[in-house]
Amino acid sequence: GQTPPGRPVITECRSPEKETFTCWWVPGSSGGLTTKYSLHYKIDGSQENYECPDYKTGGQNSCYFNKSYTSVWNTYTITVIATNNLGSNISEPLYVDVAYIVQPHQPENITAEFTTLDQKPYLMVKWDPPKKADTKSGWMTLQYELRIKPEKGLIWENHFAGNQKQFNIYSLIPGEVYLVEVHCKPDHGYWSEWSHTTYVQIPHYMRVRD
Amino acid sequence: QPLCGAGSCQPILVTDLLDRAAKVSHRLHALSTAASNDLNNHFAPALKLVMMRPLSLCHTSSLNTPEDKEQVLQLSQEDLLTMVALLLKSWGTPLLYLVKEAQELPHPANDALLWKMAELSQQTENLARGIDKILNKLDPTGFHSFSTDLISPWSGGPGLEMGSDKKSHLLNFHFLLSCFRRDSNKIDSFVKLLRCRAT
Repeated sequence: GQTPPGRPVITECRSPEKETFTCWWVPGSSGGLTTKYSLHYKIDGSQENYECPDYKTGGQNSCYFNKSYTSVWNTYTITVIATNNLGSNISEPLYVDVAYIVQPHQPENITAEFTTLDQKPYLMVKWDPPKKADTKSGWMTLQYELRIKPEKGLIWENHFAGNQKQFNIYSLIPGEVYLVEVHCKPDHGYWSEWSHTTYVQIPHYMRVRD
Repeated sequence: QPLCGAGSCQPILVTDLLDRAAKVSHRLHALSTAASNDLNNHFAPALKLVMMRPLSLCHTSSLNTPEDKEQVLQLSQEDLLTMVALLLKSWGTPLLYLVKEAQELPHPANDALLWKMAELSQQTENLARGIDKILNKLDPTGFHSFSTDLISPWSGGPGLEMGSDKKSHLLNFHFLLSCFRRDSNKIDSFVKLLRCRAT
């Protein structure tokens, strides 16, 4: 039969650049009726209750807070309410400070070039920070990690690159095709997804030794 | 008596001082996050909800710090440095309180918390001295646009329970540590921005 809606659950809130953020939720049961969802929030100590400013930009079951709705170092108390004709249900509150939910987008423009220096062969991998992350002013400080494996290989070899945007890799197998990916992390926050894969073939003509 | 011979001592550059400051500020926030995790790992979800107290009650809330990138970028180097100095100075006494409290905290991880509080207290002091050195290098007159009485001397602050039972100790510790964690994130962000501007 038809029932009031089940309890929604806020699954995650993330900010890609400490300037905006998005929250997502998972609906509970709909109770067999058309169910409407609304996200509400309060900010640190103020009793004023606001509703989500933008339900569209972040996709389904999400709320996007653009710059004018985002303030860092403040605690947002966030809840989602599910409502249908027979009643409503409210999620557990989620407490969010944008400073602690930063997960950047992936690095961009990854290039992998086989080259030599003083006849020593190596692979030079370069990349750019994610476009939206302001690393120039110092508002965001990113660290990078790169991984590489032969095309048919199963195990990735990881290399931590710190704040650099370039990394040189030695000891590769001539003739082999390699896959290279890079991801990044703010000083205090979450690793991004891995970048798109870059393929590079190591030429045959030169013998690569350890 | 400087270690190196007369005249051959190179003055430390502001960029080097800011680089060192950034390493310490990074450590402060990482450590306070680790301490928060130590503390929270042993609390049932229900108790965590009870412990949530608005951080607007933190004793440093009276210091009007910026709340987004645009506001931060508009501040001058000196204003940012002075703000960092004020935040650091305002935590001297409360961190000593946390060190004392950690020793008898009714919590399974109180040993680990004690070590972390002791380091936080020492590193905050070190960073405060370093920031003062930078400020004096940039502004030998010593006059700064912020006055130190912006932050009232800490005497427990509005956010703390007056009780002395086990739960009050835990609540107060959790609240103060949450306040410090947030302020250390601000400090780290400001110092790294200053470092970037200086290079």
